[in-house]
Amino acid sequence: MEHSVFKEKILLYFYEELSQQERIEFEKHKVNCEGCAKIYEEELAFFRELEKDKSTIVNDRILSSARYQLSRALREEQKAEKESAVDRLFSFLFTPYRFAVSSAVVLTIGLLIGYALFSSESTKPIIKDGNGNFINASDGFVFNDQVLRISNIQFIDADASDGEIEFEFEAVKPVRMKGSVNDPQIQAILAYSMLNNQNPGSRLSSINAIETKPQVRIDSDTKNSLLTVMLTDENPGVRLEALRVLKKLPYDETIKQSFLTVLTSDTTSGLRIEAINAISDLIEGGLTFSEDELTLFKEKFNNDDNNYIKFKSRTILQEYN
Amino acid sequence: MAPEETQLILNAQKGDIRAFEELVYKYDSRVLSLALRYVGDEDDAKDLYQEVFIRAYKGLKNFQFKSEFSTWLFRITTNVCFTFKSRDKRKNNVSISLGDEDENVQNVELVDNSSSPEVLTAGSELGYIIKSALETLSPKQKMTFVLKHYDGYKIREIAEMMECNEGTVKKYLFDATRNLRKKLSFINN
Repeated sequence: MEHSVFKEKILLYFYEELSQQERIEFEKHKVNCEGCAKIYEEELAFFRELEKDKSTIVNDRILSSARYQLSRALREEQKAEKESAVDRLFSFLFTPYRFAVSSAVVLTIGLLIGYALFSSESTKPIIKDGNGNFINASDGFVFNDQVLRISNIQFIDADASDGEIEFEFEAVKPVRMKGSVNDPQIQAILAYSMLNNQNPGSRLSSINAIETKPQVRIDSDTKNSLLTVMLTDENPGVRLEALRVLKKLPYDETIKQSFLTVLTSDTTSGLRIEAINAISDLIEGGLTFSEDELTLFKEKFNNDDNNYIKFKSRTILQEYN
Repeated sequence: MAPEETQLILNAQKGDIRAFEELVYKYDSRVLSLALRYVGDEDDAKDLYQEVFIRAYKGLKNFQFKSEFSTWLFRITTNVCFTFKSRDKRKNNVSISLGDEDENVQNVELVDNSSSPEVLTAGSELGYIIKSALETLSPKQKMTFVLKHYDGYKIREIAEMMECNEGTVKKYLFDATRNLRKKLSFINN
């Protein structure tokens, strides 16, 4: 191997980018050439220094804080996507097109009523199900149901000149349920509600419904929903309620980590206080902390703007020292 | 690509936010680590991390499985890094000339981050020196060096992430290493 080639390859050697054959030739040349061996030693010293700086720089605190912020941002993004779809619909309706659309709808409805009143024929409406098959609705199973909510009517064929029109709609039937709060189906609905209901009061009620029962058995899906709500709901009252329910559940690592995330990242001091109190309660039950987690309490003691949290952090640290 | 990962991507493409979060948790510590090494500031790194995953979330429906998901994600990460501008004006910038006349090296502006020691490598002096020296590299040199040295990616993979050819990556890497060696030469002396 030439000296110039050796100099070219030396970095690739340290970055482990040489082929097996190239490595062998490189090492052979290094042994036989005093000058190149010196260059190699210098490079080696430099790379050894660089190697010392390879320790991990992302700790649990930074990662959980970033995840918390991302989780909230993603939900905001999802909400914004839904709102922009509604905005697009509204912007369409409030343009000159709306007059054309409104006129067409009014005309269609007028033709429909006229046809219903004055037609001597007795054509029965037919309905298409979710699989695309037309269903004869002569038994009136949809229209005679008084509690059915019909919405989102869309015309496929609004031209009534041939005596028929075609449209589709969404029919929603409200369902009333009664049962034990321990029932998995009821818990699944409550979990869905606490995560997706637009109204914070309803989300709160869904959580309260679980909390009011003293010996409630919460399944893992409901627990995960509570954790998500505690970490991401935009309403602090809803987050707080989720935390209070989680406090009553048997201790596990996920719950501990989530409480620590609330303590480090939630902007509402009331929630941070509730989180540190929950952690204190867990300590009495034998909870232990890693070095990183203890550092977190040191940071809280030094930096939190709430005196109670400072005090509790110091107490926890003293208990461990 | 593992079948579970493919399924997660397909679910996330249908709007399942939990599937997307599972994908995030597989790679996010690497993304955050890269961001932190690149920008050197915790708040900026978290902003950058968020921007990467929001872009990934928006762009996932266009992901066509033509590359590994991780490559696609790190391509977004490198692009976000290159266009990222620090929003934090609280940093106390101290201009220091290290007397380097190499035209590849940008004007040196060492960032005084003494108020956030957690960003430094376990608070070590060497970590601070290396971090300061990294600040003097051009964005592409710095990115190449971080991906190679700290994350251990192959030159071929870095080329794919940075959307350039392997020769260009080698040049960035050689220039970065040479410049760093100059900055850090006093360590050995």
